[in-house]
Amino acid sequence: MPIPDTAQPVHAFKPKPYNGVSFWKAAWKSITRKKSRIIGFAIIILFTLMAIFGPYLYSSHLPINTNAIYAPISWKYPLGTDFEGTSNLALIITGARYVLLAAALGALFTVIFGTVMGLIAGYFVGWSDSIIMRITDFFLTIPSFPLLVVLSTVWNFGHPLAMGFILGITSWGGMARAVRSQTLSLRERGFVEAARGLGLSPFYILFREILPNVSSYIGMNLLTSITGCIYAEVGLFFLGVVPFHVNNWGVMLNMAVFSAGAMSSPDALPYLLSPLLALLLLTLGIVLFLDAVDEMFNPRLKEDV
Amino acid sequence: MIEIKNLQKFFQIKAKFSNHKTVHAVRNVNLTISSGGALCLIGESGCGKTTIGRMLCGMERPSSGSIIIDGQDISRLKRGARAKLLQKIQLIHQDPYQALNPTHTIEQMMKATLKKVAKQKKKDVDWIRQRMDELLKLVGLDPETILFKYPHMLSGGQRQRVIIARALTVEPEMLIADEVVSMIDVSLRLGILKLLRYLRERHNISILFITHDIASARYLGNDTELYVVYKGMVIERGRTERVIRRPQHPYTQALLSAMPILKGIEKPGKDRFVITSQFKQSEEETRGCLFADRCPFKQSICDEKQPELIHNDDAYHACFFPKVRQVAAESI
Repeated sequence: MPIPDTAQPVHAFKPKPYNGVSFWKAAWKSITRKKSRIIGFAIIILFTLMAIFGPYLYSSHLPINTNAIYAPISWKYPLGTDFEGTSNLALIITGARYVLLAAALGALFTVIFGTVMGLIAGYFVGWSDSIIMRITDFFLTIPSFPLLVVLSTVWNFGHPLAMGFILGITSWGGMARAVRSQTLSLRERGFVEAARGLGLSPFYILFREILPNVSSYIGMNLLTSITGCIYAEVGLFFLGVVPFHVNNWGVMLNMAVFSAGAMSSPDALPYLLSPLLALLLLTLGIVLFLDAVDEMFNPRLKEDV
Repeated sequence: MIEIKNLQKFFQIKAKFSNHKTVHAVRNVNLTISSGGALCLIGESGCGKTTIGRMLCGMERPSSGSIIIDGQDISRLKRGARAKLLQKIQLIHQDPYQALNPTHTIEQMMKATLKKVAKQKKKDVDWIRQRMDELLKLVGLDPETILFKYPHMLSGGQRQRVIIARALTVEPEMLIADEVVSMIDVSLRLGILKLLRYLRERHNISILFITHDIASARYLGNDTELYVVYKGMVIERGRTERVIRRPQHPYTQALLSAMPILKGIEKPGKDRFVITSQFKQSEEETRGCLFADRCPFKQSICDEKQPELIHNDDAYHACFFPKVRQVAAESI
């Protein structure tokens, strides 16, 4: 192959549109590649819309109907009613905001904090690694559920932000450890060494060279920790250790089991099953969608768009 | 100009239930590369040639000895100044499949360093664009088709060209080519070697070529120097042609004998011999010649004393019984 001589004039540069594919376009392509992913995506969108617009669909006090206490499933009450004759569907829809917002905040905190800690510990090694890892170990050994129970006595969990923060605090440790171990192996790879040799800043190396290589893992973890957070908070409400400030799915479960006796009387069964159904559906959506996340962040799959 | 003086490197190998072992990876290496010059290190795997290269570009710290770049001893410099100086020496990795970030397009990775350089030179975005085009054309790639591609869409040879182009963004004075062609398809090797030679001749970039393949060392130019390294020690050095045609050290001869020949076109050298015993990183230091345990021409003195690198017949060698043997292939 003849090597061009730069002594010859370099062709006048003409700007050319970027031929690559944007991240969002590629992401959309990977979602629509399989039916199951579309279903998962649709479920997630449905619940997101529910969380955003749900409370606006109903008046702030849901209508009570004393003639229809624990009513069975019907056209008027698609999921039955509760102990006051309030539609379960309405309860599910209005209760989604707190549950999902707290879970999303918790997962976001877990992922961001865990990733940054893991990246720093894994890349800089040495003393920063030791310090961060000891802190991580400390948080990992805290049994999160009892801690939440204790904290709930002193903390107001009325706002999802407080709940999300607590959920995140107790769960970032595992994420940090996993990201650290991936970073440890990536930092020995040739491209990181090359970047160091080229004099690029540690910040650039960490967040532009290494981070994209763990992004699919992080993306998947974001989704799985959302489900984890939902179960943790719903569990807290179900156990009744957190004061009921707002209507949500956990409160419904608690009331169904401990007040309505759903375990023994079939009348209250719709009241018990409707929040469970919502949880199940959301988890299913996330699991189906997870499959697409790996592909989204994989550059090898961007070419054939 | 880059000078290495009495460079030594020890590696501590941590063993769990016994004493720590020390491997003497580089022994008293001296070398000088003038600007625009080329030097070739050859030796088998594990002989320390890569370690020399890694110490030169700052990825490994020498145990003792000094590396002098343009008259400045890098171990005496402060961190920032050293990093700046070391940027003049760029390492081209052996494995082109590892050296490019799989999540970046070629444009992204070229831009990352060019942005930094542009900032230092106070140039604008157009300059970055132009320079990117220029460098990719220089290494023989078409910028239009390659810029938006990801590394996995490229062949090994193209990747190695991209890596070289990326190294050139910081305007280095020297490239360390560490086995650059060993992982590339045979049909593409020559292109890379010619590119390195071109960079040397036209752009005055000196090259430290690390290889185990003597044939490829010859492509870098007529004035290259060849250093044969064995167990971290330079055992023979001289002009490449001189060493290949008239090797004096038995180890060099063994290396040359191991080269495959074009059967039917070439015939093996008449003094050709093959060493069957394996290369061992011995734990205890020998008093004698490092090569003594494998040398077919060993005498009793070889176990007693270590030969020094001495000048003889316009080349240097470290052997008590140097003898020119005809081991390179001859044409029929």
